[in-house]
Amino acid sequence: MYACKSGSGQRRSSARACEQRGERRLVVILYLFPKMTQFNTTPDPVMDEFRALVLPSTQLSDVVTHKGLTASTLGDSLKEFIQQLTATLGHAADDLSSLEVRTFTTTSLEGVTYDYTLKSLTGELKLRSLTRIAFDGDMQVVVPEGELLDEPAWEAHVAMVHEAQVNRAEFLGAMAEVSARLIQLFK
Amino acid sequence: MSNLSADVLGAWARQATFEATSKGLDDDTTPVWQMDLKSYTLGQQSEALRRDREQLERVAARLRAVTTTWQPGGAQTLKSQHSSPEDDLRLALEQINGAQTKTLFNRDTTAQAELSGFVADVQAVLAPLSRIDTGAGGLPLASTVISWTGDIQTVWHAAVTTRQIALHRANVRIALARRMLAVRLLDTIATSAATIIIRLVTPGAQLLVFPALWQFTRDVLTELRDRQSAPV
Repeated sequence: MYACKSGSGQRRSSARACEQRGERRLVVILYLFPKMTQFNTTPDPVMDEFRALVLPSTQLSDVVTHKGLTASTLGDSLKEFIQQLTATLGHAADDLSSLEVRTFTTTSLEGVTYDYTLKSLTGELKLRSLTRIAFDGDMQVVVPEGELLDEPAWEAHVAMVHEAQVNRAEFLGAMAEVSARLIQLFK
Repeated sequence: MSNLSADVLGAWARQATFEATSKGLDDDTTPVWQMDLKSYTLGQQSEALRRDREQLERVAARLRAVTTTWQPGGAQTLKSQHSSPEDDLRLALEQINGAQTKTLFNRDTTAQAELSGFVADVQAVLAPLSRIDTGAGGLPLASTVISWTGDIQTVWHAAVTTRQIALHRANVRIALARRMLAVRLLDTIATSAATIIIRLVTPGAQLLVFPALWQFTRDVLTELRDRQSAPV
């Protein structure tokens, strides 16, 4: 609802009318930043049902119960996504001191598994090269002692070091941005 | 996966189907991108990625044009057969802000279900660890595991050639770019929602606009693709 003053003190009923008159406009906003915990249970059953599909179900317990709607909502999906995102960003922040690239070879990829405790590929494979890039850009490269690193293996390793550097810069920045934006929407 | 979600995410999948590596990296929370490549397939993948990036940039630009200029109280005409995605979005925003909820509900329930699915798909793809496999003619060439912090471990077949190294490298690049495209799309929608909600008085508007913004994205992409495939 808008109300503005004119020279005659007459009230105008729309922003456009106020603007056309070039009058000073006093805008009354009922909900400046709608809070998720205080949505207005309007007597609009269709709107209630739409809200029930979109807003987080934790905010809609009455509506969901009354309507018998139990499926996860868009709001639930977004909240879960934000929770995962912030948790993973938090863990990632503890592990940003260096970037590591490892290159292995094997005669059969079938024998390769990933050890989630050791955080490493394991199995019938041979570590051919390891590069660790510190936060300040210092680089350490490790190659097997007593054997020549053939050109394809070295080429493969260098290729992955480049991809790792490009990906980290872009990925973490994008994750932080989207996380901040989504969190802001839920505030 | 909705069509749009599948289009954006490409070959990312939760379950490994590549026979030779199905016993490795056996964790059902690890998203897997698998591609059996020949050079021409790689070219097709690169071209598809370039096209999708360009189209999503156009969506973002058109969305910005609407969300930065829309003001409540505009025309509230009913959707016509020839309305543009912009017209439909402005109408949806008016309906969210006003009382015409019945039409809004009928139109956007599919959009909200699809968007929920897309968010879930993006969440799955952004697991702490992802895996990218490359094969050629059914034979596995390499497998790369990448963490959130970008640490990479790659295991190559011992007999891999220089050309095959290039294939896997390109496949890794495409897979990561597809993942980033999905994140950018979600960010575009979130940014648009943030821009528009300050003008809405409806409680919960910041989420109620999401389905409308998703629907707009779909409508614009459909329009762009129809234009592309129209006979000259």
